[in-house]
Amino acid sequence: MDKRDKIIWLVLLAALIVLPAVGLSRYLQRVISLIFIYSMLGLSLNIVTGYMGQISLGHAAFYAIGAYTSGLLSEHFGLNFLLTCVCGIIMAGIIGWLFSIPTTKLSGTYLAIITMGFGEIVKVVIVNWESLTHGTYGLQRIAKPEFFGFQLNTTNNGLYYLCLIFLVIFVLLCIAIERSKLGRSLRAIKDDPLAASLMGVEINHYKRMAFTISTAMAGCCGALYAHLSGYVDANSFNSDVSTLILSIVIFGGMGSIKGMLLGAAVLVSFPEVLRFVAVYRFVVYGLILIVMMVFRTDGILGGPSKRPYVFPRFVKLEKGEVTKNGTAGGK
Amino acid sequence: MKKWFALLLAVVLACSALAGCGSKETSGDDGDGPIKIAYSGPMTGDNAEYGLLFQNAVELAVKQANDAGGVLGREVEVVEFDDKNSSEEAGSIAEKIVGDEDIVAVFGHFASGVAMTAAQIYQEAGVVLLSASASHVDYSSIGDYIFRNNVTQDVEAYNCLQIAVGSGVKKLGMLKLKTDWGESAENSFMAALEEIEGKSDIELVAVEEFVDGTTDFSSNITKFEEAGCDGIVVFGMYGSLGPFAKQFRQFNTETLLISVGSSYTPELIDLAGDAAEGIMFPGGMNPDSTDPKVKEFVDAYTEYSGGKEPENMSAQTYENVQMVLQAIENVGSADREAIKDELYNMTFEGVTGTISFNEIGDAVKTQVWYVVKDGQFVESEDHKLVLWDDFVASL
Repeated sequence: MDKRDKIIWLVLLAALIVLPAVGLSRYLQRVISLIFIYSMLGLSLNIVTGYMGQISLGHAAFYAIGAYTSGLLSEHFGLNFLLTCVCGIIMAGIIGWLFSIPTTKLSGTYLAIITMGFGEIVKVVIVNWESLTHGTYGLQRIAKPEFFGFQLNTTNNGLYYLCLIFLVIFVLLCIAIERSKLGRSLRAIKDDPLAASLMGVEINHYKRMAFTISTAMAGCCGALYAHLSGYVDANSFNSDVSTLILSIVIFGGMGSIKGMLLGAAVLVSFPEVLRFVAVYRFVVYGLILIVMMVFRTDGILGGPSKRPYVFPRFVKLEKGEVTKNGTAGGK
Repeated sequence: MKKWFALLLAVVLACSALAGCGSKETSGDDGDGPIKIAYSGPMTGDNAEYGLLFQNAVELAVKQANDAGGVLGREVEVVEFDDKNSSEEAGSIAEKIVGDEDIVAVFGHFASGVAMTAAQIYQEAGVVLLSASASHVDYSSIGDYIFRNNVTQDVEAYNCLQIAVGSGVKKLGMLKLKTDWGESAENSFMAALEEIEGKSDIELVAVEEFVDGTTDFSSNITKFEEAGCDGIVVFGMYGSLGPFAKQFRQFNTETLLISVGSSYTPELIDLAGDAAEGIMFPGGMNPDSTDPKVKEFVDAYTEYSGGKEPENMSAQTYENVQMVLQAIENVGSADREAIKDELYNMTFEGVTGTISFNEIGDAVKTQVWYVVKDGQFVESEDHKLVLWDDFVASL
């Protein structure tokens, strides 16, 4: 990341911080908060789809698990938001890990179908496990997050800032993953699993790890959404949501962190902006998506990674052995 | 750098576009500008047929009011939103509506669950929400700004049972839609059954459920046949009742089918054809009524919608708009709170009957016993529905 990039990140962050002070209507706050949450969902799926190149069509399932875990704990035990959120993360992570064990050997369309099936299973369980989830009635009036007796809501912009803080944490986490051994291994697996395993990358281990991290992050988004909207039901997590998350990743550009923010901003705000075309809203929305994808197949900010490979400090290279940047960047 | 520019530009564009439709700080409650009302319903997606019927009703009522010189000399303007019958969309729309100080009342939100999510936001902001379709028992209790002009599920379920008992059904079956609406219809129905236990020899022998979008009911039909039902109550929309009746009549032409007001629409006859014969309903407005008031509305609606006949919930939507406009006229102001207070006080003569609101905002009105005869909905000549308490006492 060069200096200019850093400045732009900071300017963007500062703009988002002062935005509510300038005056945002409740409606705008809600839409922008939704953009934050969908950016985070995009970032979480980006780990599996963007870095590792695996398609998941059931991400909404883990989003739902996080939301219901957090919502139910708050309803029954009145626990603090941070605690219920952590439980949501752990629950989604554990289920994601269990789910990853039998599915690591799958890839491409097979994994897509299995994850889609899992998404439907979770939805059906939510509808039918009435004693726990209240069935189709959903969780009503989920408490707003409270810290030291101070309730965060739309009026005091608290929910907006809470979502923003989580988004910043997610972005930093994703940058860390991108630079870590995990990130490099995932990119290697995406390029060529066989070559990666010959180079000593434990493919199954890293696949499970990536999947667990990704689903845990989705669980966190779920917890956040449940407390933001105050109401969740099975319909809030249907296959449309999974498709939207995947669209954000593909549209924004697989493997790009900036791309997730842009993808979410565009895909979440477009249906709202397009309200003036009334019933043709989703026709126009679909058309825009098709046109965009035809002209930029890699997504808006996608394309091969240009991240240089940084050699460990103890590796000393003789002069003339490699050029300035190594070649191990991968996609 | 180009990418960064694109990112910034997109964010700025999105924000400014949204800001354009954001709130205005001024309150136009008692100004000279138009009186703004909002309508929100599914105009695309699964239940779009209802959303579009209601939309016609709202627009017709507004057009008639404007043709007659407006309300308080001001023009009435309607702002329309498509909520796709989704709670998430409805939540955003509700925030948008309450942010616009000029909007004085909201009509719509089709499904109970969707309406209830949005209702919490309207209640918090103090905007009247008047639904013509929400039927969940808890809907009106959300707050004093939340009204409905629809027969509650309780009353409807009780009346279905009244029809079953009145028609001499002994072994009753129940088919219900597996949603919050279906669940609470079942609960109301069970409560009604409990009330007449011992007083009547009717017995519930089979309960079956189906999910929205089901087109093949053969497994449900087999169960009803095995149980030997001589009457089946169907808690579902006409889109499900039509195919069910058609398939059921291939096996059995004797058993009485009873359904609820949301199936009471001319489209049912188109869907089910001959199989619709004999289905009974507790219902509201009779489109073929000879009452001049009803006839005038049906004609105007059919003309406005380009040939579509209104069903009961459209009629209720139409009444809702008229009621709010009447309330504004009565109090001489388009103040949100004043409208709410007036709605509790007034009695309105509408096309579905005489309407007043009880203390929680539910419409108090009676229903009519309908039966499908020769492809028409006709009022039953042999029977009449009475208030539930009177019915229990008569057993």
